[in-house]
Amino acid sequence: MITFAELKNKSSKLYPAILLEKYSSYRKRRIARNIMFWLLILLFVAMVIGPELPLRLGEVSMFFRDYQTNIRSAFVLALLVWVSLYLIRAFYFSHYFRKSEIDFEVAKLIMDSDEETDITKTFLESDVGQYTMIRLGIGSDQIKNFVRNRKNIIPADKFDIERTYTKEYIGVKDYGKSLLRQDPDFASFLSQYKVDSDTFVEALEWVDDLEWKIRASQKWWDRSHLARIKGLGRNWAFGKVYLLEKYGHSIMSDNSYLNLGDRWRVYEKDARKIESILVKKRDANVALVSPTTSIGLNIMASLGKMILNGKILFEIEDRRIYVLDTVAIMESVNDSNNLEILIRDILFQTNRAGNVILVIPNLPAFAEHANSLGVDVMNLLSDFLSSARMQIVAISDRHSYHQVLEPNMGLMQSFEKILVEDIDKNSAIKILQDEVNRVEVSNDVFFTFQCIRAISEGAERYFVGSTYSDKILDLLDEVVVEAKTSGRKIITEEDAHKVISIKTGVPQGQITQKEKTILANLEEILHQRVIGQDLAIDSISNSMRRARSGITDPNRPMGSFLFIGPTGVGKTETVKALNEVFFKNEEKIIRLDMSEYNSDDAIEKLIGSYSNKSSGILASKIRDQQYGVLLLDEFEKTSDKVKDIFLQILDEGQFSDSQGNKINCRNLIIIATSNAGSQLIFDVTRSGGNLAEKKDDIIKQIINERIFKPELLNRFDGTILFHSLEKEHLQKIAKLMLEKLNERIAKNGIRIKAKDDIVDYLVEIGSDPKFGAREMNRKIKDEIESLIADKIISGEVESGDIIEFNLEDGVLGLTSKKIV
Amino acid sequence: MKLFVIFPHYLAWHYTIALKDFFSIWGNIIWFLYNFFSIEVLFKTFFSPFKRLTERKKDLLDIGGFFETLLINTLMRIIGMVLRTIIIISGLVSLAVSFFIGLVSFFLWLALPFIIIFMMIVSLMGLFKI
Repeated sequence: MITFAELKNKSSKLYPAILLEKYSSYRKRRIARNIMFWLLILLFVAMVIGPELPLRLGEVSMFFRDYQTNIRSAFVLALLVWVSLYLIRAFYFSHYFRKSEIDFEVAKLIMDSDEETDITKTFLESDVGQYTMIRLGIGSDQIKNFVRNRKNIIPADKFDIERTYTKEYIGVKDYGKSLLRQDPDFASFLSQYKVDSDTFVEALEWVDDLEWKIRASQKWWDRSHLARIKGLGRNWAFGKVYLLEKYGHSIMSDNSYLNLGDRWRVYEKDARKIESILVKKRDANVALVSPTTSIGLNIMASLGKMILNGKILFEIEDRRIYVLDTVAIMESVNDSNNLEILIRDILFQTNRAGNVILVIPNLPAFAEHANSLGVDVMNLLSDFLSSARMQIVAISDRHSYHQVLEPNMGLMQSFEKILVEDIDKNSAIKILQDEVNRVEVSNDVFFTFQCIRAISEGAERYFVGSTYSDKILDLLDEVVVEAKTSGRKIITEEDAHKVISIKTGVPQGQITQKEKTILANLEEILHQRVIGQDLAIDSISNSMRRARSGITDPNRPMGSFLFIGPTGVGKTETVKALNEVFFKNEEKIIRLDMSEYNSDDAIEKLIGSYSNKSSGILASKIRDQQYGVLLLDEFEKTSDKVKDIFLQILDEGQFSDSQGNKINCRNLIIIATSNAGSQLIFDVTRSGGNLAEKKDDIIKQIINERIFKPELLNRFDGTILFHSLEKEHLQKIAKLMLEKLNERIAKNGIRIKAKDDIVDYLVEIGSDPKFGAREMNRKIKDEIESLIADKIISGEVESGDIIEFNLEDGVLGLTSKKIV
Repeated sequence: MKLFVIFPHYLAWHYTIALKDFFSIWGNIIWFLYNFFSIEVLFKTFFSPFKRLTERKKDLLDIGGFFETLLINTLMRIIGMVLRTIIIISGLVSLAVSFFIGLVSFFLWLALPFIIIFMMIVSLMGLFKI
């Protein structure tokens, strides 16, 4: 803990610059410098041209002649003021960038407070505080209101800072976190706008970073700026690479990579690993095993940026990075001889040039493709791998690395493997902040911090396939376009949610009032379609409420259930009811009969085959529709290998298809149904036992019979038992089905009426103790619907009639009369 | 008026920390020029052929070819040397100029507060014709 007195002491070294900032802000001083500059130009023109003006201009000409001394003095005075302003800037910069124990903005906030001052008010009135609140989408009126009505003021002398984020100095994040810890009123004010402590400090750091960058960009004399200017004649000692210019491109002159902004920093750690290998004298080649080629290329671009900025070990400071265009090579030749010559020539020229780092994106695919034409790329490469004049960086995904590169032991001895991962959420937010700073200027828009967070979270959760950094930047572009087309300049998290909703079909953002009502009354709504099964409906409803309230793990499916119970007791009906409630569309059910996937090729059928490049049914169906219900019928009948895939899906919410592409299952409700243990359930129900009490015994038996492994059962959000149906349930089902029929034929102007004896008759013919109510629907079709159809065709029943069913000696009949 | 409190702080800075900053910036500029004109690299590769443009000898017995290759390769080295000499000399001149300007700027910096005050008084007098 650092007390206020200690903070004051640490800040005092920056006091002169803080004082300067207090009376005249950085922006005001910049405007003053610009005004002085133009005034100087004006006075200079007046001083030089004024006396030369022709006399015929009369008074104007005379004015310049008479006041020439004054103008000259004014010019010198303006020049002195202008120089002084630059001296003041140098004085300010010297303090601002000084390595100190405390961040300049924090020191400013501390020095602006006296012992009695309200520390929160000081923050809210400061520039950094105001910008932060704007970034959080909180308006000045709300802040004024909060300051006016607050009761518990935190005097500055009671304020202290706990250092949690940085060891070297006290940063704005430490300040922000401590402020919220000591001022619960302010924390609860922020929480009204859904701003928690982490969001607040992140936004604060963003604002502080931006201020720092604005000032740092002015320091042209800094080595990091000067190093960017390319030296003369550096490449004269190295050869030209004409072939690489044609069949590749230099990553260091590629604008899409050069404009990385601060993005290269997130890959710097991996780029440094590559640097440490490339400085070796021989065999300095890297096998970059990365989730996607694009991540590998981003890392190489970061290395390029480090070379351009001069922040690199001297052994490789003159290197050029070229990316080989393997597709162009394969397209340009069509026979093995020419292909071999071309690849050899490229490698020879690269080697001769003497300073090229050659990047081969997706080497395994290139090698396989060339191999199909009879060219051994690996063998061609092996001649150049130990050269000190060139280095090779081969990019490969993990799967291909193990399949193609690793078995080639001889070749791999000349490579060092570097395993890299995609960036994490914090890095994604940093990349977005940097990009947003640029987008805001070029598009004249303004982003709230919550929007940035929504983009990073949305990209991670709803889009799989490409790299995280590509996904966030694509989404950012689309959010900007969407906001601009709707004519808004302030882009909030709602805009991000809207774009994600449009792209995925997954509803985003706050739970609407309508959905709230549905979730609150979910049991009742599901019971409109599902009769009985109170226990099952209760636990499904609870799970769904948890999922939609946002407290569940976002990296798992929306919900996952295993429905266990005898046939015809309402398992599938519950799935349909859930689908209707949440997705409003029957087509949203992806239904797979898992009994079809128990042979040896079951995995290939589901996720595709690597050898014949086919796409599996599960992979392609989910890729087409990543939002809805995935129904896995008769799940117990599938093979153990398939069940193992579902272990991963239920755990991580995604799986890889045969081509290594990630398939997102995080927006699905996954429901597996099974008849396992149905005999036991049937026995318990018949003997009047309590199914809930017997649940553990039933599950134990299922595990003992090795139908499902315990780890699989544990992965489901819930294992739901469906009891067999009693007579009262069957009667309700019969009535429900008759009601549905009534609704259907009401369109023809006909209504039906059935008394209890008819309902009992349907229960008798349409149900079975073992098969539940499965037959009832068919029996209603056979017996009742056929009878009505016959009568309509014979003309005995027509529009405006009401039909009443009757039973005579066990035979179903009907009478009709006009509706009064 | 509180703003005038800065003035003594400024003066203290001008003759202490600012001098350190001044030398650091001067050092940066010299470092930049040294790198911009690639002086070290050009010295190291002074005799290398320009952009590695060389001919390779094909037939050992072809005397004419041998002299042809020798001529081209020597020519490429000479072109390289001439161009490098131009850049190296420009670089050394720039370094000397920047050193000289730095030296003048240093003395100017030391006198700057006095120059500003003096010139301000003179120009104010001139402006109001005192």
